[in-house]
Amino acid sequence: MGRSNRQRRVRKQTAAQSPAVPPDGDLLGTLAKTRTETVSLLRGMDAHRAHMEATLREINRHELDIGRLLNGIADVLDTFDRLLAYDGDDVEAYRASVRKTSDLLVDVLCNNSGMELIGRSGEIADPATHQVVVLQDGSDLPQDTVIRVIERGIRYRGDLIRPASVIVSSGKEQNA
Amino acid sequence: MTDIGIDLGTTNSVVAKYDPEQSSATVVPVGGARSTPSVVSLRQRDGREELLVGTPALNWAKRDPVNTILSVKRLMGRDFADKDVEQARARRSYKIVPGEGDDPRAHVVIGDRSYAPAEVSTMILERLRQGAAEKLKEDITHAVLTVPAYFKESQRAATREAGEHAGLIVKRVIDEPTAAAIAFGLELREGDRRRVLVYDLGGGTFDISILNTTRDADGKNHFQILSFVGDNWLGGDDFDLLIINKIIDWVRREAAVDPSTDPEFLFYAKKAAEEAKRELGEVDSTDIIIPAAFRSAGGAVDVEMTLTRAEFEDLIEPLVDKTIALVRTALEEQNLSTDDISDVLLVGGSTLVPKVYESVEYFFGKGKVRKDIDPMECVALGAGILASTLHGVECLACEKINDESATECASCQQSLVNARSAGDTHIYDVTGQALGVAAVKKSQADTFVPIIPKGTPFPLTEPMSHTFEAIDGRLIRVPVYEGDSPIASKNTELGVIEYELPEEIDIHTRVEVAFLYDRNRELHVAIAVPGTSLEYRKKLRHDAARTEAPTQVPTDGEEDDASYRESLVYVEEVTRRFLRTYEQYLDPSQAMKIRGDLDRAQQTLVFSDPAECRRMISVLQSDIFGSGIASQLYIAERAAERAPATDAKQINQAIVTLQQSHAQGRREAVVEQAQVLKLMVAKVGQQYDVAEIADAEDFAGLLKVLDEA
Repeated sequence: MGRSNRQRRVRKQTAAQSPAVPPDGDLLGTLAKTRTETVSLLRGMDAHRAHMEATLREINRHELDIGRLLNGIADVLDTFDRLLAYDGDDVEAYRASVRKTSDLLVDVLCNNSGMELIGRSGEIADPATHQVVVLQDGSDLPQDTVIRVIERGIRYRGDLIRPASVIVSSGKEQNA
Repeated sequence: MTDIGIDLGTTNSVVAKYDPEQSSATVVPVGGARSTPSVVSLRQRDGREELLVGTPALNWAKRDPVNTILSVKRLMGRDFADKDVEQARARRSYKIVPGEGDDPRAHVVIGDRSYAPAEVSTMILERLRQGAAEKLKEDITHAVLTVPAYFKESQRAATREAGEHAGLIVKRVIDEPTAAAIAFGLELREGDRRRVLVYDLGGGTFDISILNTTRDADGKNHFQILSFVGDNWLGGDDFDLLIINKIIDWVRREAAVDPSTDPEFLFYAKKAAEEAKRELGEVDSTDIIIPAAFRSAGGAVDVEMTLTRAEFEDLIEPLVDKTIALVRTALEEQNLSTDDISDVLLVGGSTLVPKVYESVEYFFGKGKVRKDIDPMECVALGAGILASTLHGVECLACEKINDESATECASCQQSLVNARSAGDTHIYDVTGQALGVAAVKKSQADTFVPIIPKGTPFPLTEPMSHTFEAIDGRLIRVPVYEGDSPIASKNTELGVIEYELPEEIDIHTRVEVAFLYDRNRELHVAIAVPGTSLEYRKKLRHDAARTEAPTQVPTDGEEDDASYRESLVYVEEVTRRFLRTYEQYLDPSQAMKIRGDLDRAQQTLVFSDPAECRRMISVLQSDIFGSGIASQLYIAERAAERAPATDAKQINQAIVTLQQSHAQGRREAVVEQAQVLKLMVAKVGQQYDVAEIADAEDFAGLLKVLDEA
């Protein structure tokens, strides 16, 4: 005897033992349960669809960001080429151009990648985000004021990738 | 309940957790980082103080070096007078001070108060616990902590205390090499024996441990640390320093300026050196480029140099050779060769450097060296595995499993002090060094008497004990030591137990000292008087004042070894004369002891070891001046020789009377006349600087070894 025949016979026996038609109450109960399960399943599918859509939007946004980022970086490189080709004597004008290029790069990075740069001269250093490399006496700045940023800190999507490395004022007079 | 393993490192700490679904342990990032700097600092601003722990503390280290505590692990459980603490004081910017009152342990100062190193470690452990709880979104309750194999019991106790104060139930404090061995999954079959060498080269420290591992018939793994050596001030940071020096040399050569004192340049150079070291692990050469690295009068200096792997390896070769020399020392200490080592485990980030692991492979043979687990995380991973597999402690009486924090069984109320950990890891430790007490043996007050020998598996199910004799009044003083030297003061003192015998107990009673060493490496000491119900139990106090080593014979800087030998020859001759003249007044056992001491003095003269000569001089002097009536007669005759005629006549008469009473066996009269003679000599001694009759020697409450009493 094949396996499927055996199963069929077992099913028949089970059917014979159970009532042929369930009472109305049981039918309604089964229907309500099935409806609840279906609604739950649909909600799960909706949530999954929403999650998938959000992920797709995120991927699209990333692709757009990467496109803008690469464009921006290429623009900055072109600017460097123009600066390198400059053969004039006006150092101040040249320095101003370099500063503008640097600001452009900051905009490109921060606006298109979810990255935030940390560390600005004049702000008060915070141990959570600033690593003190040098403590300097003799400036008239208040204690822990950033005199110079040696290396920018990076925060990416809320996580600190690295702190800003800074020179800060001790708030003391020279040789005090 | 969530269990984690914590590698509480000197420089960085790592948390790991075992995932039963994945059947593996993984690192739990704390604050987004896989390791957390073991640093505590202080931020003072606007009249307020804030303690910083971990990365923010490291960020603030240069801002306030005096209040930034780095490498506190080096100070854990150590006395202020410790040599390693002295080294740390010379190298660290923060203040290291002794504890308050009699507390001999080193403390560190943050702001205007001092902290025990365990308190600083507590802050670090709290940060790790909170960080792991945030990441796992579970409350962290239990942990296994790791410590270096060389940690003494007091250091382990301090680590455990730190964990408990951080709100953790400390399941176990285990050796770092044992944790590494667990992470590497050294699978043993029944009866298998493996001898494993753990080569641990971190950022600032280098440790070598040799472990014996075996699996018994019950399927339990035993780990025994055979040997550990190391260098507390050698590590991968020294490799970085060599590259930084190379960059400085390049700038000096190419730009004719010296950037070595410019902190900004050194910051860039350090970053570049770390990156170059990493790259040279994968490629044969790397470019070190630092634009505008240094500003000089001639403008900005760009660093642009190439470092090849061969050059880097030449630079670090002396340091790597030093580690191999230490490996050789560790093997020689145990009379082992490389053939006796079955596995070599590489631990610590610096073992990722090819020159390092290739040197180890060359020394031991490539097949033995294991580097398949992340060397920076394997200690934490091993602790994480162990944390998950230990499930409480099993009561020996009723086999109920109790929580690790329980002190007595919830079912039968039996003490759980000697209970074993329940779980399926079955790791058993053995004592790395003997545990015992300082006692008096053959007039020597600095003898180490082991009670739990080295290599004893623990926890002990029954206490181990030794019987002594109280000799020095009612106050019993039991200094407890850990170590392998027969001289107590050369070992590490763990603490002191003091106890005053009640009036109803005879002073010269036998005293039993029993040690019970539990699974937490805590030593429980019991003092009992056999035949009575008297029993005194106490756990050691680590913060008590340490026992002073017995005063040595003062050493004269110009006195050479030969002079000790001459002194011993002289004292030996005096002792022989003393024995010949006064033997009839000595107890036979004392006479036998003096003969034994004279034989030992002869042997000492053959080897001429100055320290042993000094010790034997002290022993023989003790024989002459501490032998009861014989000594009294000897000193009285010397006093009579130096006293004026009238006093001398009186002393000589008293001597004759005493000798006659002794010959007639009149014991009470002997005692009385000896007292009279003692007073006469004391009087003469005060006037003419003659040695007094010695009272019983003052051993400050130490017990005497019974066999020699």
